[in-house]
Amino acid sequence: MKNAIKKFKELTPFNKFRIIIASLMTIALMVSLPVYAWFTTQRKAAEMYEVEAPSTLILSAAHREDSVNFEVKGIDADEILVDGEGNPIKDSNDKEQKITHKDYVFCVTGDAVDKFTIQLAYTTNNPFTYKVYAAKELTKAELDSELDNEGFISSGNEVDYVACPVINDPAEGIDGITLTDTDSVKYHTSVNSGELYYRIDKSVTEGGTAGLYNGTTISSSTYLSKSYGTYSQVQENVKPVYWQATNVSAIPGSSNSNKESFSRHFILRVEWAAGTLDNKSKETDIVYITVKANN
Amino acid sequence: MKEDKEIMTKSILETAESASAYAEARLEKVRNEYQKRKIKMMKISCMMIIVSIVLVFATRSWFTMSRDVQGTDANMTASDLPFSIATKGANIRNQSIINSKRSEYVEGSSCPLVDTNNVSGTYYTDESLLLRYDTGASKIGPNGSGELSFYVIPKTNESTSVKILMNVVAFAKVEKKDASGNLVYKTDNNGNFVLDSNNNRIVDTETIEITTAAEFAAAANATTVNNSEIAAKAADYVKASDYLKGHIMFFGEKAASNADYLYTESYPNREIRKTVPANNKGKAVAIPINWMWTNTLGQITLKQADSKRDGKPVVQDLTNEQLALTTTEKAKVIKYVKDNKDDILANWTTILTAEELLQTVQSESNPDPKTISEVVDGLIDNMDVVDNFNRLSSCYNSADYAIGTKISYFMIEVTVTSGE
Repeated sequence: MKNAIKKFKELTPFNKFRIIIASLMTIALMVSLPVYAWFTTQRKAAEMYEVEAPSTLILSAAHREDSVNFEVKGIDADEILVDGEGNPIKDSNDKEQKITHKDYVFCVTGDAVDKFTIQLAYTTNNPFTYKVYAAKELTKAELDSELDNEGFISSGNEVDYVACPVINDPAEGIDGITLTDTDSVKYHTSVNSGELYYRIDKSVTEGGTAGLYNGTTISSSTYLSKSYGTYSQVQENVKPVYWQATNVSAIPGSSNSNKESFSRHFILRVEWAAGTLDNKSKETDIVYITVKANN
Repeated sequence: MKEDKEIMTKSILETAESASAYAEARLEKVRNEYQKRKIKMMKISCMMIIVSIVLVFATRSWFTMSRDVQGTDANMTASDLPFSIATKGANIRNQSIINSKRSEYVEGSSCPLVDTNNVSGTYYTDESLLLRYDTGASKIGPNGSGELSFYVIPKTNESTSVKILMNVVAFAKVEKKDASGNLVYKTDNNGNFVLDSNNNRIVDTETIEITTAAEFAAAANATTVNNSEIAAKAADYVKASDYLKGHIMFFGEKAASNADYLYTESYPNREIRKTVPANNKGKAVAIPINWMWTNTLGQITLKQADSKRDGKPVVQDLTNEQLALTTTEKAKVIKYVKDNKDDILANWTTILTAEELLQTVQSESNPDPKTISEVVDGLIDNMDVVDNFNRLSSCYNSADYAIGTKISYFMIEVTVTSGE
């Protein structure tokens, strides 16, 4: 031992350092080996699952009013197209024009939905075509400012907006879904009386162009047999036509991965070609609107 | 003479001076010697400290191994498990996400093995293994269930016992925001926005493990995520994670498909002890581990067939004679619900009627009041009463809703040790 210490003392500082480090490493290794062996006496396995969000999707009238307030009515084939001051807008032959469409607002609201599908099922007794547009909600002041920018005066049926009455206090929310008044939800939580106004939101392009959703029409005998079973003598115009737009975003521009509550407005446009609609021969049509969460 | 005296005095003085100088020098030498020793001592103690730090670090892991080595201090020799583990299947679920959170889990090396029926197949084996599957739903919600593809390969022909612990870990996907609170969108390597099929930008998200509220809030507040709104709701996320852990139950073998219940055995403690039979050396022995996120509470706690129940019960219903027994599988799962009300039923403390609450108040007619928990346990025992059924089911469904709105991923982790 004495010799070893003596020899150690004779070493240069660098060699002393090397010996110290070497012995320390050896001790550490001796300790860690049996310790590591203990670790190997367990095995682990794991699997990762993605959780499906419980979606709440509610179809309602504009401003999240109860759906009984959604009415597709008042289509008058003889209604004259007027400008903001109530004066008829005449065509190039100086003749009064009749309206060729009517807009109705509905709202899709819910929670924890990323994308949903809007489906229409309608009968074809009248020469109507149906279109779905993304809509934005505006207060009177916001509407006036928009129309002023566009050079319109804020009334008349030629300017495309729809006024809807506010009935219930929106602060109550529906089915426990409360919204925050942010741009992303485009919903005026603080307005609880009077009217709100809805226009096509041309900035939304997810369905095609300028707010319009280019859906697909499904015409398959599979669906027909679900409605009519084996009845073969069905009048052509009462057979429902199915139309649907898929992947409609709950919050346009966001994946809604935080599963936030949302509210989106849509305009259902009932359109007909000029001169094809006649008040005397006008019939009843049925339009079903269905929404279904994609996730 | 006077002069002589002076000289003598001087010389005596000189002698005295030189003596003191000598003493001084000697003292200096001793001091130096002492100093050297002191330095040496310090060197030695420094080394001792370093050695002990190294030892402490190297052995710290002993303490983290408390579960399986308690009391076996003599067990110092390196020993390996008498089996390895394997999985089988074509696919791995969410591999990139699980590896970003737990890099130790690997695909493992593939090897052809036979099972106990001598049917050969390709299995994957490693010490930390990503479990595989062949077919199954891509997303899991209430009523979701699955069987872990999990096998044990004995290394000897002796019968071996295994102990398996299951754990559920929840993760939330949090939207990233920049310093001014705007959403951050995904970009490619060139800095262009990544677009989805509808040409919309995709919000960048961070998957965060839910542990404690403080840790979750810190992760959501981190500069890379910056989502203070979510951080503020950290407690809700932890609660949802607890509900998930409560709602995902583990079971053994599946019952026959024509049986009127789903599983033969439940593992409410998340622990399985199994004995692998002898003479299976090198074979893949399947350990049936099923988990289920039960759709309705009635499937767990209703004791007998009931029209209110939607779906099959998780374990066998009771006969009239069995109702009072505590050893049945049904009694085990009901006890599990009662013991874990906080993790299974949302707001269960607030569902009692005024009349029921009276049972918790001491009075002359009620000298021995129950706790709220005991009264709710009574409701669970009598789930066949419509009112009880509705109230408790609503608690269960609220918890499900909390899970679905907060949790994006969950991981089932299986730890296997020797059962001896």
